[in-house]
Amino acid sequence: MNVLRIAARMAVGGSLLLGGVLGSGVHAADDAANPSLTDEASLALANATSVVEKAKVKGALWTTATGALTQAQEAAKKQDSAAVIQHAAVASEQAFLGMAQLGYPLMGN
Amino acid sequence: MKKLIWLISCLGCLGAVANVQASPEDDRRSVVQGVQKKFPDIKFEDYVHGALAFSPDAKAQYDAVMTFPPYDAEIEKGAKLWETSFKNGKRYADCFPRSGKNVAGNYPMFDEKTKKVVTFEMALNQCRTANGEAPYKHSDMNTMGLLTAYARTLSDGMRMNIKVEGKDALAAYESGKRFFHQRRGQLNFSCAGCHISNVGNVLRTEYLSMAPGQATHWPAFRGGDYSLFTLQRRYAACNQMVRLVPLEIGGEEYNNLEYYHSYLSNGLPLQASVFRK
Repeated sequence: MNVLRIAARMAVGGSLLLGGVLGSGVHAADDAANPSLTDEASLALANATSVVEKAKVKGALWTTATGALTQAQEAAKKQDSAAVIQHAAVASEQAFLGMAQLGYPLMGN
Repeated sequence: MKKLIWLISCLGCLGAVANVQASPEDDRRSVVQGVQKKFPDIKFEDYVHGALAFSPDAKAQYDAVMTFPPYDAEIEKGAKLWETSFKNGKRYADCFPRSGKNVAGNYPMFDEKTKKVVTFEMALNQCRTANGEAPYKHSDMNTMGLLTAYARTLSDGMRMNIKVEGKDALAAYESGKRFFHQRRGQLNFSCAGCHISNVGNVLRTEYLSMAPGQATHWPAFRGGDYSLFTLQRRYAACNQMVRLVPLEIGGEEYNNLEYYHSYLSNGLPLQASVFRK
């Protein structure tokens, strides 16, 4: 479980770092939507939205991940970048964990 | 020594092959035998009572409720839906063998043409669309729920008789089986973790029922307000409780899950529209 958490955090952190280098297109779109959010917050929100959608498609989305994404979106409306980053990180991590869960050994076999 | 290692490897491979090739009937027998071993005093037929089988008091309360079910008026509404003719004059009874009596136990069935599992609710909707009516939403308890609440009572007493024939049907069954045994949600539960591995144990003051028999008594009227729940609505509620965003009621994942889940109840009698806590 700890390994998965670390992997999920690395994925979230990595995507944020990569986004800083490669994601100028994404930044432009998000900045237009949330003019006063920092680049980091905009990217974190975009990343969380994408990962949560992937988990939903796989039928592996935790309600808590959805809740965290909603909180991130609410924080974005209030232009609170720090809160956006905090909630988006939780949403992304939990969405990853939900997807990883599908690969756990089957129970009751 | 080498021969011994070779022999053990071969046995291991044979074991793995045997495990992979477990047939649906092997699965069902294994699950039923697990319950029988743990609870030899509970009769196979009583598995349809689920958690009530572990508590004579709860079963007595259930029997009292079922003497004069307070939700009879709801089933009557379902009967009215069933008996109302479509615009073309045909009725639901015209879409099913024996006018819809003793058919629900054959569902879900696998349709070789569409390569999909067909639930009883889907068959009801197919009847509607074939007769020029709009389909009901599977999650709408005021239409599909009520209709099913009555239509399934026409099969009370019928033995569950799910068939898995052909490789595509087996693939759908295996998909449902996988879902049943996979951990999901933040609480990290699986259906099997409760209803196969922990049958009869108490979780949050409730006994955990056995998987065989669970698919025989839906829809059910649940709780103090007798809310109507179809089996797939129950799946959604269960998923929600373990903090998983529920999947689509009537979607392929739940249909396959119902296929596997219902197979585990093969041989047990149906009794629809009962009361459950």
